[in-house]
Amino acid sequence: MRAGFMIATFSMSFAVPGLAQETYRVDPLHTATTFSVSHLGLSMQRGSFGKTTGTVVLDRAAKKGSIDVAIDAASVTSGSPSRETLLRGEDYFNVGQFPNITFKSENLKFVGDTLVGAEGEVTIRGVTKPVVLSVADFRCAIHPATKRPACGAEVTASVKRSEFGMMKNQPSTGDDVSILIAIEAIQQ
Amino acid sequence: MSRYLAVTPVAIGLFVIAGSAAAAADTYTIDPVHSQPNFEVRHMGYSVQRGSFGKATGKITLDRAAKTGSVDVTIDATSIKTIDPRLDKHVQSEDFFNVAKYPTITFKSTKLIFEGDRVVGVDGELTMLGITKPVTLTVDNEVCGEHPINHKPMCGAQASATVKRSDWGMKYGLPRAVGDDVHLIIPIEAYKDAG
Repeated sequence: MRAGFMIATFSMSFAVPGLAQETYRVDPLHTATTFSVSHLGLSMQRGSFGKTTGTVVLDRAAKKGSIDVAIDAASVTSGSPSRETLLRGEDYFNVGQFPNITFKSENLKFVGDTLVGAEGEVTIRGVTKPVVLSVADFRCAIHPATKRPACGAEVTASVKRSEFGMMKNQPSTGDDVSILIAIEAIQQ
Repeated sequence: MSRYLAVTPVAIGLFVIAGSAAAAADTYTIDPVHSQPNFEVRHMGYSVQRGSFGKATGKITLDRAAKTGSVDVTIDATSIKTIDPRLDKHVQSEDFFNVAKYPTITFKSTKLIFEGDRVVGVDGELTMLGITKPVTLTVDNEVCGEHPINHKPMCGAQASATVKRSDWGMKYGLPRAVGDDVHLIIPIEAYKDAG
């Protein structure tokens, strides 16, 4: 166990024993939130939000940290201009009134020094609900372009859109929404 | 006919329609708004990046009794979308899809794979960057029914495959910056043609 932990620590090429807390800034060019929802029970339709900003703070030694990110609700894309107009409208994300979707957490889950999850609160359409994120494929390395430590992960979650008051076109468009988040963040 | 009813799952909000056992092949027209191919590829080893093509058009024929059919789909390569306009420009360039020279991607098949009378796979040929290679799509959850609003008969499914982009000569960023394995996730909805 001890040996395993040591190996894990040394494999993180930038792990600095003295410096407990690392702050990473989300790379907006490689961070996106994709959602998937059933349409008519016939197919799973996808869309995504391209613009995400925020920070992730990690203290691997203490197995603590925090996440504070904002998604630009108007950055929603779905491959169809008319559907994007609907998604930005009052029945869906109502971006005029609620320009940001936010996620905040101060309860990160680690296995060893690998981040595996986060419990936090998501705010959509001004409604705040608890949500649990699963983190897979968490890995860190020196970014070849910026030469800075960077981390990436695949984050998943599921929500019911009705909990945020998004009732339009139920049940022909499903209530359960699967969320897939590609995230890359560069250490500051 | 009754057998078809028995094995076709009832989708929520849909009425199952009976297949016309007498008619040989039914032809379906893809609904482009609900049939956008998505792709996923690993970036720098850090994360999985996603994109999609907004415009796919084409026809599917199905003869469930004979367990045969065909797929003929054209994807507008210029309709590629990632999460950022800068990336969109890059993937449209010669480094990736070279859309100026190859504005369309096609997938054609005359070999559908059935389990019972449900489609579970498609053996076909994908033409991209002027190169044609075989690709097998796995088809999940093939369901037919009637659209709850316009009452037209239609079918839906989820197709997926993993391809190596280098097979089509798309080698930018290999091996590490951008992965070679590309996972394709394709929702399909198609309306049955009248007649």
